[in-house]
Amino acid sequence: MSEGEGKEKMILSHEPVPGYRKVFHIVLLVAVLYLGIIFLRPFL
Amino acid sequence: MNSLIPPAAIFIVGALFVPLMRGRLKSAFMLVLPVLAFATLVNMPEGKYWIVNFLDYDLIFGRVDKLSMVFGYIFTIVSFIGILFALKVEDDLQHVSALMYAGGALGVTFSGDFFSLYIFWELLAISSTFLILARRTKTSQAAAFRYIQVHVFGGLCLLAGIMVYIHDSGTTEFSYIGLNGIGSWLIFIGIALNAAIPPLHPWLQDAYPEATVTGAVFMSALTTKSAVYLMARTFPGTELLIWVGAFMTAMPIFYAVLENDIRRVLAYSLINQVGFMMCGIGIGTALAINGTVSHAFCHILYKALLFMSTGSVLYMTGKIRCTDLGGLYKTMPLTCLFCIIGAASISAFPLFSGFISKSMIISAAAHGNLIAVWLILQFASAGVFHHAGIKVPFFTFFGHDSGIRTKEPPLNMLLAMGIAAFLCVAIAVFPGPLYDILPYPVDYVPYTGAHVVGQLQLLMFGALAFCLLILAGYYPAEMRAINLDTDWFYRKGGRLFYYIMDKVLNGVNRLADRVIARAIPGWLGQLSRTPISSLMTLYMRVTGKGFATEALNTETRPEATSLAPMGTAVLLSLVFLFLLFVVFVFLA
Amino acid sequence: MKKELKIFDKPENVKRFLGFFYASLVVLLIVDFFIHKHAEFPWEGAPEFFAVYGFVSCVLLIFIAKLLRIFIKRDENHYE
Repeated sequence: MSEGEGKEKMILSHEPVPGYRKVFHIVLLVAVLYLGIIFLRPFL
Repeated sequence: MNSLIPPAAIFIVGALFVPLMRGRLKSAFMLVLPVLAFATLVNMPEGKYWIVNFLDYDLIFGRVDKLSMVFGYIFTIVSFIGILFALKVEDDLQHVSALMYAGGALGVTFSGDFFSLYIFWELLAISSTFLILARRTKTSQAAAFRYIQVHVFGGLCLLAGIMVYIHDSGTTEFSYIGLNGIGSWLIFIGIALNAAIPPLHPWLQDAYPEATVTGAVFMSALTTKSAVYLMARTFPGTELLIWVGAFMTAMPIFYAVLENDIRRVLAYSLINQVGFMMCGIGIGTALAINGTVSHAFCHILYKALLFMSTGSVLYMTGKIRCTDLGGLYKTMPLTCLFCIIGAASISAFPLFSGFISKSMIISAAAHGNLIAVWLILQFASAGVFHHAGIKVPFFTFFGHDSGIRTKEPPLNMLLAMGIAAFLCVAIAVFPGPLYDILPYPVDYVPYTGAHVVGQLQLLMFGALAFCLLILAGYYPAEMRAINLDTDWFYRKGGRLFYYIMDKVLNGVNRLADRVIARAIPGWLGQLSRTPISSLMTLYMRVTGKGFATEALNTETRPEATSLAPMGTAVLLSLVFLFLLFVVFVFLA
Repeated sequence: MKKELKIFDKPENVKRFLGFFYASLVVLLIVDFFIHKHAEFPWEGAPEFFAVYGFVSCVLLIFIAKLLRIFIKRDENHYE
């Protein structure tokens, strides 16, 4: 596509909002650990 | 019961009269057809009738039992909604093919023998192709061409299987078949192709987004679900289907997340939903079959609703890509609301239709102690909400404001969406009537505390993941691109095949052209006109001794016919026919 | 022309919506302790199983999809 057709967006990216990366990492870590415990509990 | 006309005939014969009418009469006529068909359905007792003797075989156009009735009802209901949605379209080609298409689906549903089944099966393929062609763009023409090729292949598989089956069993009647022997496998593959079972699925995501706005509504409802019906009829309890179905629920959602074209996202989620049904058919218990049938019923309604609401956006704005849309709730609030109802239904939110049907299949998997399958199905359920439930409404109606300002679609479109949305909610709030028409007695309570809370947790925390992924910047960017799928094999691979065939066959062609078509006739022509001198020339050439004669001109024959390669279509058809021949001769 | 809806143009409305959303998540987590469960599998009865599974599933879905994109993404005119 040439730049003359700039009206049609080629990409719509999602920029990170400051602070949310940390929140996401913490929530994910907790969730994965807890899920691991749930699944492995029968074998422990 | 021969006083009634088969519902399929109402649509097919009715379709022929549509081009003769104009204006309000035409609208009224088209809307009356599904109503008439529904009235017929209600008065059809169980049994086998409308039997026509043809070439020593019985064609059964009315095999009526609980299984076929459910599909009969929903196909007629969705036809009414689809016709209402398409009422303002001034294109007889679309109206006629949509009605034929609906007739074909009803025909498949009620046919009790393989001959009539096959005829209706092909009618489905052909009439739906016109709903893609009617978009009248270059890409839609190409997609329609690929679509019909794939379905011709599937149809031939089915036909080959039918021949073997008839040869073995001596009857054209069918019910349960089960996987044993080549004939049943061919039938299985034929049905699997229409049900879009991977790797035979790419025709669906290729063709549906290229169909017309109104055509896609019919397509989303009829082809795959008539295949679901047939699969439930002929292959219930086939273990292979459990695993294929589970894979089918999971695989398309990865594509759906990446896809930019909203209607293609819906096409992928359609494959995912049919995966649940295939899984249910594979499990094959009463609960699983009930779940499959009721899920097909609900799915037809909410998928049609989603295709209608996104179709309305395409109709009003001419745009359908995530990258082009956004913020449309401002000017299309009703369409937005209907889209959200459809999205909530496909995500199986409590009080929306998917909840009361999909959970039966998942429960059936749990009762069968299928741990891995259960986990995959729950994963897919969360995934559905992620792409179809959130992505579709979010990027269309909310998200970043695209600046597009438009209007609500015409009243008939809003009305059609309203009816579908109403049914989606009504079925979920009062599941009794749907449960009553299912093939087996229902002993299932969808609204238990554990189930409602569990499902809400699954969905809402999926939503939390979406929210955090977007805010943390991890969500994949929407971009205009193609994501390779198995259609690569016939889109690129087909081209490679064509290239090789072009080089080999056209090489032979050119050689034959030079030697047989030009050199030999040229020389023979010379010989007949001037025998003596020609022979002398030959003698001269062979022995090297000279006579004074004119040089031999072999290029006397004028260009007769173009020797361009024949269409790939002809070639492919020949290949298919040859395969059919091989199967028939050596295996039957 | 009809009047446009603009509720999500105001940041405080978006905030209110998100607040409502997060609150409903907390309610769901609390309610989980007060319902009778009839688990088919051992882990199904674990507290908050579905919440954690739903969250992890969706994150996994997105990361696998992003990985998949590396291999399957082609130019828009790939087939032309």
